[in-house]
Amino acid sequence: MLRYVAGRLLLTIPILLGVSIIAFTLIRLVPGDPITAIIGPGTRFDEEQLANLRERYGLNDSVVVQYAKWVGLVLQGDLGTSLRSRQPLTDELAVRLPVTLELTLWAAIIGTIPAVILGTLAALRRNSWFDVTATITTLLGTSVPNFLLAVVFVLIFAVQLDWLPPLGYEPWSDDPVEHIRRMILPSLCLGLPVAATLMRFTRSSVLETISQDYVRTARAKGMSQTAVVMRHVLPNASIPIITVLGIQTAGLLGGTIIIEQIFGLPGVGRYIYEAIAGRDYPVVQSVTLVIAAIYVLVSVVVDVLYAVIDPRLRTTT
Amino acid sequence: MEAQQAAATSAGNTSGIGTAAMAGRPPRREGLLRTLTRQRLAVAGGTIVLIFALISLIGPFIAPYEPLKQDVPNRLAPPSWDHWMGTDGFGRDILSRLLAGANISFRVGVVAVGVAGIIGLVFGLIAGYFRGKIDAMISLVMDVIFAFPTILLALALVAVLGSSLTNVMLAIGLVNAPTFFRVVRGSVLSVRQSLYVESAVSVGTPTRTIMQRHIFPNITAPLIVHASLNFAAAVLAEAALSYLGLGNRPPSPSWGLMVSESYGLLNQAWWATLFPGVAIALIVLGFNLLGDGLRDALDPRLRSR
Repeated sequence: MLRYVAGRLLLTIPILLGVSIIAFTLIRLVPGDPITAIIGPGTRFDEEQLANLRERYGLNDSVVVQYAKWVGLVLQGDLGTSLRSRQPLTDELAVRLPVTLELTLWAAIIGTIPAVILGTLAALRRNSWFDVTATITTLLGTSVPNFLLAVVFVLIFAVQLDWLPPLGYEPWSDDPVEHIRRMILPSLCLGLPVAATLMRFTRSSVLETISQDYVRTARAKGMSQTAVVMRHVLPNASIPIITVLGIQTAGLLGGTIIIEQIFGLPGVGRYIYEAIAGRDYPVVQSVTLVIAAIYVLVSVVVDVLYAVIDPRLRTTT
Repeated sequence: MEAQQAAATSAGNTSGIGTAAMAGRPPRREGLLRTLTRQRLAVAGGTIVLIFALISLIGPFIAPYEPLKQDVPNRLAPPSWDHWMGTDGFGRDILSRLLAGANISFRVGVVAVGVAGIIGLVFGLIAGYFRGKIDAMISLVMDVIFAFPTILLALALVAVLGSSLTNVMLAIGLVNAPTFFRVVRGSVLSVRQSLYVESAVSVGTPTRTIMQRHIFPNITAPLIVHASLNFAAAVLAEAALSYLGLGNRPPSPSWGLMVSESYGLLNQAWWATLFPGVAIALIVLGFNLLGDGLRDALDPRLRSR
């Protein structure tokens, strides 16, 4: 098993290298002198100052050297410095990453647990009104953009009913109750579209499994419905479900950009959005790399989970 | 990795749509209620798409008001006989803006799907047909693009290239290309194994002819299905980019932009945010339903599995 995990991790190296090349190249696609992109338009420097800045940012080196230097620094844990705040990126991420990871985790929980339960029930009661209603609801759920969901939820729960605060963030250490109250709406907006997608996959996957011979055998032995579902159906139906959840992680990470912006959460998604809008290129470069790396790691975890669930897959790498 | 790749291909619609057919229920075992529901849903999807296409062509001509014309004394007017969907913060008629904005969403869908489809098709054909090192290299590049959350890469591309409608369409197309690539490559790989392709190769048929005559016709069905589902994803992505202020610029009647412009006025004028939002959801729903229906109709493997 360890061998499998190690092998799978090795496979991510070319992907991560490619990701770093794209993140690095993106900034160099900006038309014009990269130094004006770095210092921003409207700032006036004389030639000597510009030359100094070029030297400081290593822009006189060849592109390959620049890339190698950047990767070298990243590998040592130095992600660079924000142009706007002049703060080291690692400091910023240390504060912001937990917010985003918490949001993503809640959204994943909201997206998974009800989806698997309801999807399984829909499959077991196929063609019932419950099943048809669930199908239509999930269809709607996969079509509603998460920012629209945010609008509707804020309108209902914050503006009309006044149950929850519309936006803003409260650190856990200051006020745990308020912290949770403020995380509910963003997590729901991020998680519900995932729940809709996952529920459809669960339903189809469970349907596929309950028609198998071993399930019929289990029933013939007189096992209870619950035992059949828990012991035979769900473990076998879980591979496609985990796959979809893995793919949806990209959607969750991307979704935090919009959701954190709407709800004013100080996470990585909002950070990169502000960096992109404010042309803070070192931030764009490194944070893009970090987010993509998280996603690549999630796909490794998904593959390892496959191997845990289904030992036959341990040999397929 | 293989397993995940394969699963990812069949789940190629990363926006997470169009999955009812993944169950692959044979029609005869299907309950009547469900079959009817699904067929009706597919027809409903097709109808929504047709109406949307029509509006995107004639929308600006049937709009009751000038979509960009401000009428400040009449700002934030609630829905009424004069303004069926009310007016926004500048007094602009929301219905007229929606009708004019349909064209933007439609163009984004067509161009983005076109760009993603062409890239995916060309490289998918090459990788699936020639296999070996070429396949490994192209697949790696596609995997790298796939490793970025779609919205993040599109956002960064638009920020770098400049926010214009053309760049938005190109960026969305580019970031969605890997899903098309996987669909095409997977299909080509399986067709490539078939006897008739082996025979064509053995009698010396030129590669180009094999691709045109034997391979391409066999991969059009999954391609069309994926295009329909991807259209929905492209419309959503454009709306999200415009919502974030990096797509179309004001005063463009882009639906995503309309939602974000009016968000601050939510407690005074829900209609200014809700109608464009519902319009986006409706179009996306239409393409999802159509894609599901097409998948059922076009993919015989799913029917017999």
